[in-house]
Amino acid sequence: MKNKKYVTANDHKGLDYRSIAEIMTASGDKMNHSTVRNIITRGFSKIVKGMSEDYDLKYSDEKIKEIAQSPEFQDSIIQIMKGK
Amino acid sequence: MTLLNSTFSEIIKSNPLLTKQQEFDLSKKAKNGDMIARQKLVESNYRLVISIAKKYHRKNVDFDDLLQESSMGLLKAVDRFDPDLGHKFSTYACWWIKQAALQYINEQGSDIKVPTHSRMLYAKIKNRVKELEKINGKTPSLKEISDDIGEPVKKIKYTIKANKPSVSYDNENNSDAISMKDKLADNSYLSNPHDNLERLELISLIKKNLKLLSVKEEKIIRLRFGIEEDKNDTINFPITNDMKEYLLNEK
Repeated sequence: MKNKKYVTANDHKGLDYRSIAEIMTASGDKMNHSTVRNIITRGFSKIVKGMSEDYDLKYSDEKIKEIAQSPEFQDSIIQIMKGK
Repeated sequence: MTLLNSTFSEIIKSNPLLTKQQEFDLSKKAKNGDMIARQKLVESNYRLVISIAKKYHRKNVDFDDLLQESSMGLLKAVDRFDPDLGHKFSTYACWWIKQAALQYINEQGSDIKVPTHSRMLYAKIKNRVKELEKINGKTPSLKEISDDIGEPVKKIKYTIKANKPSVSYDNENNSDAISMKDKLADNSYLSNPHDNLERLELISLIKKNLKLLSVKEEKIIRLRFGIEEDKNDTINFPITNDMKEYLLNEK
């Protein structure tokens, strides 16, 4: 993860934004690739916000978004979701 | 003084130096199988063994062992000496004693065995380099050393390479070395219970906050990062045809 700006789908054998958008649209949630990206960021931001409240930390929305998009943070969450 | 050292001293005291005629007679008898004459010749020359061993004694070499090994050289000299050639025994023996002592030092001095002749040449190169540095005020090139010693450049090159001192990877005095304890660091959770506790607390907090994700968000994150979906939750995570195809291609 060193010197990396983004966690990519290939790092975790996942799907790209467009494929996800197609799957979601097929299952009834119409969306495009940008929406998929925004939903992912929003999801991670929710976790950051929840955790900052647990630790009594007051982060600005910008800071929360920055943490949510950081590859280190995303990777840790993914590992936990994978049950590792 | 060690036991071996004192034994040698006693033997030396009771065996004064031999005259050339005595040496000749004893050598002749020893050659014809007289074991007493052989022993006398050996014991009378222990002085030479001690003198040579002292000269070759180094910090990392045990002196008693060096004496023993040098004595083996003396025995070889006694067995091979030909009195009829007219040489003095000590002249002949000192080369065998030196050879035995050097061979022992060579075997003990380093972890890597380098042939004695190579080590000798290396010592010669080192001495000449020092001398040439003093004379010319700069380090001599391989060509200059080669011309000075009279050996090919290639030989000088591999002799220097072969005799480079080895440095222990685990040597704590060596700043470049990584100690084995660092390499085999215990990274298990048992090595630091406090850190482990903090980690578990953090994981439980993250898991709690994961519940903040809506079904749609969780599903998209799972798809994006290849996180297996909950197979029992077929309502929130139905397997689509695209996903099936993707998973089949993955296999």
